[in-house]
Amino acid sequence: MKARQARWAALLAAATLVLSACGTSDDGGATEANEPFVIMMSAGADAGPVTDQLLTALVSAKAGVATVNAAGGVNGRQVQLLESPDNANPTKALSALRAQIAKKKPDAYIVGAGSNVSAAVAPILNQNKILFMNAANIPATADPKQHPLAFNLAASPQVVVDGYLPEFEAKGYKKIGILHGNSAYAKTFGELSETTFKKAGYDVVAVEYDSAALDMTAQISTLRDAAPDVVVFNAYGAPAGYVLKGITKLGWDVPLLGDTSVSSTPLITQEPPVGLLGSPDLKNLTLEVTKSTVYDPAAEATNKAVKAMTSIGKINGSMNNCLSYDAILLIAAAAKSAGSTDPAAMAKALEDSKVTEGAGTAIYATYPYSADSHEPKLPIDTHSFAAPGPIVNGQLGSPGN
Amino acid sequence: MTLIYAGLSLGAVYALVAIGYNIVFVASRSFNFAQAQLMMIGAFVAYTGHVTLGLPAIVVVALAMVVVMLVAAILERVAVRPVADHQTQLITTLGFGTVLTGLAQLIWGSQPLDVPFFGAKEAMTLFGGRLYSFELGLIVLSVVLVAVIHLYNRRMMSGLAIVAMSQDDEAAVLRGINVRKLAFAAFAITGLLAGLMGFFIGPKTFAVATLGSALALKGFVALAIGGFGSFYGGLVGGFVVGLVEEHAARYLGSEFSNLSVFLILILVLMLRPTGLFGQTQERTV
Repeated sequence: MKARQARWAALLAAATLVLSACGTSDDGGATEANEPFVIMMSAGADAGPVTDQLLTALVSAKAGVATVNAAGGVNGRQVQLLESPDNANPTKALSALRAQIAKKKPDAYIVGAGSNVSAAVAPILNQNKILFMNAANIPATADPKQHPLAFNLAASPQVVVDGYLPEFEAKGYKKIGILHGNSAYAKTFGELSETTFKKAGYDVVAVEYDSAALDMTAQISTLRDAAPDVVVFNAYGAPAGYVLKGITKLGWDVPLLGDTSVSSTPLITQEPPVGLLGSPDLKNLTLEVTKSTVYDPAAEATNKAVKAMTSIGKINGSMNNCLSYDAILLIAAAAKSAGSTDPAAMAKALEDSKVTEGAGTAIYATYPYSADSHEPKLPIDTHSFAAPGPIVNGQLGSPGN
Repeated sequence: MTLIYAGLSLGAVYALVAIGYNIVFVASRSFNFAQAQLMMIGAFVAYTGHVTLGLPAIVVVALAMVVVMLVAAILERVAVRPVADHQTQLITTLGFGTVLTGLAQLIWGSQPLDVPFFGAKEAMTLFGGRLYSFELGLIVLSVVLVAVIHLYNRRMMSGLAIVAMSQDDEAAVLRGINVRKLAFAAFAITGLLAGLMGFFIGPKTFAVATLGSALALKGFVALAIGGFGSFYGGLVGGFVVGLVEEHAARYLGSEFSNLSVFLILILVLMLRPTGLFGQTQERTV
């Protein structure tokens, strides 16, 4: 009998040892004040067309970390930024995240660019209850029912699209042409623009182009035949140049409204011979920009952010690429308001507009989230229209010019 | 007419890639999958010559040709010569192309750079259609290059030697032809021409690190349609791809553009497996 009891006791002890060995050392998010608050971020320097966006996102995150740490960190914990060198490759980002979770779970995760990365990591972050600040918006991370700890940072396509309506009204346009790419965001932009403009009573003709195409003559010819009063277009990188050169080639004199992706393209905001600024290709172009992309000496938070970012690295493109700065400040403000670094408590705090308004964010003055939507419901005047000009340090009219 | 010009100029870009593939294929029966990346380097060097160094156009052309020739020579020594079989060379040249893309991104960045053209900057009207002078230049260059290469392979001793190598390299060696030297020369010439092509392509496509991957596939399709080993075939194949791409995008929508190109490729290969101008070789078994 005693021997049987001894065997059971030995078996129980062995099972306990095995089970404890199988568990991770993770304590579900360290909360000791002396441990750093770890934020993991998708990064890299070899991501093709999105390289500049990734690099700038990293610079902005580093500036955010420096700002928050200088102010005492996240509830007294110094912020540590952990780079995931995935080059916006979803498979690599997922592997790096899994490896880090196995080692030690990060407290938060940021995607600065690449909606494919967002889509890949979101379920894992949700499963492991990690706060997710996402600058590469996807619908899933805007839905708190699916991802209660995820928050989109960029303006929703609806806000961007709605921003055109006052411009159409002011200029008296009746028929609108839309030219958009075939990436996930570009398609959403195109479909939403068509629906919104039609609903507002405008005649609309929409044409899609292949983002990998090297010539846009066919698509522009289709649009020209429809004779719109204005063309709204979406393009980042070389396609923005193909569109503008194509319109000039056809001798088509039509007003052009480039969305925020066009204003983020250095080819459009640099003077010849490097870029096209000042060339006849841009004579009819007006750019849609976020308010923070236009230099304003009175915008203290934005100017502070630009100073912090330029002391660390270069801002490529416009301020649209710097949302990671705001992400860090929002995390700090949420933790302060919640009095905790518990992800659920921080997420709840972010749904309070007073918390986001007081976070000191730079790209948008506030991020109005709610319990129903984790997409910032930004006011229509968040975006404005400006003539193309040199963008230096992420801003038009920057004193760095 | 504008759409035809657009199709022809785009097709000329693909044809130039196909010409590069063909030169190496004819000389060594292998594919140089880094060809499009060599042209991309040519476009970047043209940008540096024009914009950074402010050199005259003729010097820029010479600079682009020499630099890309040296890169191609390194490619042959590093990624082709040490590899015994042609199948493995597909992988090693592809790898070399990836390295070139990465290097271009490190040196010139990831954003497109506007490469100036020495001719008129404004678009012109020709037979009722609109086109840029660099687009006309691309069409002319592709046609002239193919004619010159054809004549070279028919009239010059070294050209005939290359053709002999392509048909039977062992027999060519027995006839005193230095096969290794000529294969190396083919790569170097490919580089030389890629530099020249980059100078003409840059003003149309911009110099951008993703250019290589954008051109590689369509260049290969042009070659497959025209027939491996046929320079006129590569030219016609390039024009077919460009014209189909533009017309499908115009009348069917851009989502049908690539679909139409690959449909044409399948049709051609079903009707003529060797391509439009490819030749079937008899083998004695």
